[in-house]
Amino acid sequence: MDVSAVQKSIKQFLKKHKHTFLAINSNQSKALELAVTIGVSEHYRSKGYAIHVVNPKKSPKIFVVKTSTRGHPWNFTHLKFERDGVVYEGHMNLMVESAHDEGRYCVDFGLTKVGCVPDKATKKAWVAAKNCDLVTFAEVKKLVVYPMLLAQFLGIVHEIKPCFIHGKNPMGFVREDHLFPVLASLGNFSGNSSKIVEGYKSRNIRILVAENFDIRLARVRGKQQSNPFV
Amino acid sequence: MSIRALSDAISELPYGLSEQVLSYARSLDVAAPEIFEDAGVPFSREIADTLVFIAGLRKLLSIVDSNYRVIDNVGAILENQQGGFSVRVGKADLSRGGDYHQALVTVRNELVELLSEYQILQFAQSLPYVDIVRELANGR
Repeated sequence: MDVSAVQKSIKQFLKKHKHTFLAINSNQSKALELAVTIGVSEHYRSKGYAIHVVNPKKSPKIFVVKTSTRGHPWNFTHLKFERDGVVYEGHMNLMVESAHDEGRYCVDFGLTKVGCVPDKATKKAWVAAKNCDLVTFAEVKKLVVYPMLLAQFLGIVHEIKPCFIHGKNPMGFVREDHLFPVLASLGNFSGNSSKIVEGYKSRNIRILVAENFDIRLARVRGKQQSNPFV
Repeated sequence: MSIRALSDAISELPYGLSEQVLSYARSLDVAAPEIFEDAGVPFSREIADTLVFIAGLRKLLSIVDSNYRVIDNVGAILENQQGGFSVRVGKADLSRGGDYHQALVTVRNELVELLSEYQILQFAQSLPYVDIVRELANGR
């Protein structure tokens, strides 16, 4: 293999497409957060929920992705999931209260009870969803799944929804086909991280680790599977 | 040497992406002796350097590929769900068929073409590192 010839060609290639790589650098995490939102919605669709996309009133034909803690929720798209008269809402980059103290956290995707996040401007500043209104949530990383990432995610679950680590599932959680808290990742399992995840079952830790998430989405799109979390 | 060659090759990448490529290549460098052992090939610094360079290319391809796949698949699923939406993140249009999506298609195709030209696409795509070491040791 002629390393120096490849080196030269790659350099030229990257120079030619410099603007696209700048865009990738800036959009990578945002696109992933959108992907996990769509992935979660496909789970609910596969369980018989109807999905309604609710775009902001001022841009009804644009799916506006929320990618940071900043901005009012009513200026961004959210989703409604409806089955047998029961409705939940899905919000991107949702601020939510801690289960333990006055802490507030931002989850990449949060599924909430209906109406607890304002869809129009409020007189009083809206800060965060109440912890009891959050049903489940998802986080996404552009990393391989390594042991310390799993430990970090368990810490997040402990602060936000500790019942999934030690305690019972909320009433109706399984009946309504909700997802346990999700960690989605672009990479595969590294080191012994798959063994750690296997061990969660016997420890009654209920979280869902979806490695290779881009490939899982491709299978949903190709109709090889209907749910990216299976 | 190989990290330097890789670092030079990707000097046009934005810092964030460049770090993703280099840190992956460095981790491969650390694991190289074990990979040689698994391959049953005596350790050679020269082959290890080439392996690390290939690892960097693999990461670069995976960055391009995964970004393309995410935008393409999300766009297709959203079209199936409701249809007719454009997807906006801040000022960026991430819609399927939009400028960003088209740019990803072009970059991905050209990178695949470039790697194929040097007959290293399989190295950068899917071949296990143990097999790459064996092939390099056999004079590839």
